[in-house]
Amino acid sequence: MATDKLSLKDVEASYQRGVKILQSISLEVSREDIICLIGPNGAGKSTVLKAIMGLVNVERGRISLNGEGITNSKANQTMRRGVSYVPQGRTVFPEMTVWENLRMGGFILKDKEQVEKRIEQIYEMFPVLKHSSNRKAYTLSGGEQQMLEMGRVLVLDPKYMLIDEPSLGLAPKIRKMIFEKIRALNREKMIGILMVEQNAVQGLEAADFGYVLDMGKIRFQGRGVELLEDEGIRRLYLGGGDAKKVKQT
Amino acid sequence: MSLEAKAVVKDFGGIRAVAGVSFKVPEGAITGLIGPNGSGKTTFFNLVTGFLPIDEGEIWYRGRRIDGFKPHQIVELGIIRTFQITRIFPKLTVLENMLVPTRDNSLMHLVRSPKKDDRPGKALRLLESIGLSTYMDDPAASLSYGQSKLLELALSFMVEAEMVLLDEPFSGINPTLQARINEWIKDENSQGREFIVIEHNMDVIMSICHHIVVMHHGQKLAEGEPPVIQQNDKVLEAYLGD
Repeated sequence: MATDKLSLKDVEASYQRGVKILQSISLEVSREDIICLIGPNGAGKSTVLKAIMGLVNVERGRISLNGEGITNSKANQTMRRGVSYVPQGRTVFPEMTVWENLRMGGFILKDKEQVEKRIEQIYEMFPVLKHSSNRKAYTLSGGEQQMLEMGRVLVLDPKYMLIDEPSLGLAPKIRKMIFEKIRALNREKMIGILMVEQNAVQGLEAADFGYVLDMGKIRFQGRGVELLEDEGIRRLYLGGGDAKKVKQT
Repeated sequence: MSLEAKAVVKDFGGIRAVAGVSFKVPEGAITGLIGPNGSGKTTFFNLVTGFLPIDEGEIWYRGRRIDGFKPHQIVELGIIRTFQITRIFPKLTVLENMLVPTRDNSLMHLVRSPKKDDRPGKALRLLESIGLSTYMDDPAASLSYGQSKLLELALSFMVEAEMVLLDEPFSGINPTLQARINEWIKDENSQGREFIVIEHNMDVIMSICHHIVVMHHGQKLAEGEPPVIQQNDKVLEAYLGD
């Protein structure tokens, strides 16, 4: 179990030649961990997840899963090895029902009985999806769609989940529930979580460890609560200084 | 009174998305429109801006009934909006995107002698303050999700509008920039521009809004000043949680 890790070592990546988005990124996720990436818009947070999934070209460095190299592997291969990815924004298939969306999550699996069995397990974890099983996905609320997106990747029984802004566009009450679900996935199912969050306070509170990215580099790292308490980080990345000013007026 | 909704109804098939909503937007205010996901907030924006026709009720703006107007007519009245999912032009550069909404197609503009054009300068200042000026010559498609949201927000400031409807302007935006955008909105408001803001970030809503309307299941659940809303039991239960 000690070597069971998803790791990035000195990773550099770019969308177009010459414009480096990631510069020497090194980080590790184990199956016991919830890791949260925070930082300014355009810092490269989403690109870290895309680099792991082979959706952006890694020019230097190494990405490995349990010691085995997966640098620039195709997304479907990485998924088969146990790494799932929930992209940013709403990406459910809107015209398909909840059940059909979940079936699509198991598209690459040959054993369809197993897919059905896993869908039942997902329904136990997210009862709201069971209740809406026959509803078209576009009729679901934002929180339900986020649960469907998480459910859809769980069909593959992943060991790691990469989640890009799970709380995006969600009402406060639902946001809290989504973070609770993420913690449950980690604690009960031993799924290592690497998530990107702009809602930095709630993201870091839910996480064991956090990284602050800026201009494609890791500027700070530490336990989630430590980062939250750091005055410099609060001021530079969490809106700390300005937020106080807002409250005074 | 600037904007007023009177018993507005909108149905989608069998679903009543907006179920008889009535409220008045106070003159000169920043008004927050909050509520659970799926409560009808964005649909309400679509009705006000003419993107969707209303089924029943009336919408009034400064003494004129505006339901039934087309989106471009609504813009001409001085009401503009942003979208939850951005609608920028991916192949235009970031700077070009900023200039699109300021284009003047009127005949008068074509026959008048050209005035000094300060729009590019204003666009650059706005881009600078949200950290996008280094990307001004890049196609907008190269921006990240959060940066696209910032671009759309910035271009809403390029238009001379009296009322701006912002649909979740802060989702996906870094907290430090959120604080800066807060200041923008308050500055513009102090110069007379009105805002209606849909947002789930309660710190922002409670700190910048003068008035808040809460929607739930297509209806108005509550209305009032921020401290009143924060302590409303119905709002706590339906939306804010404990």
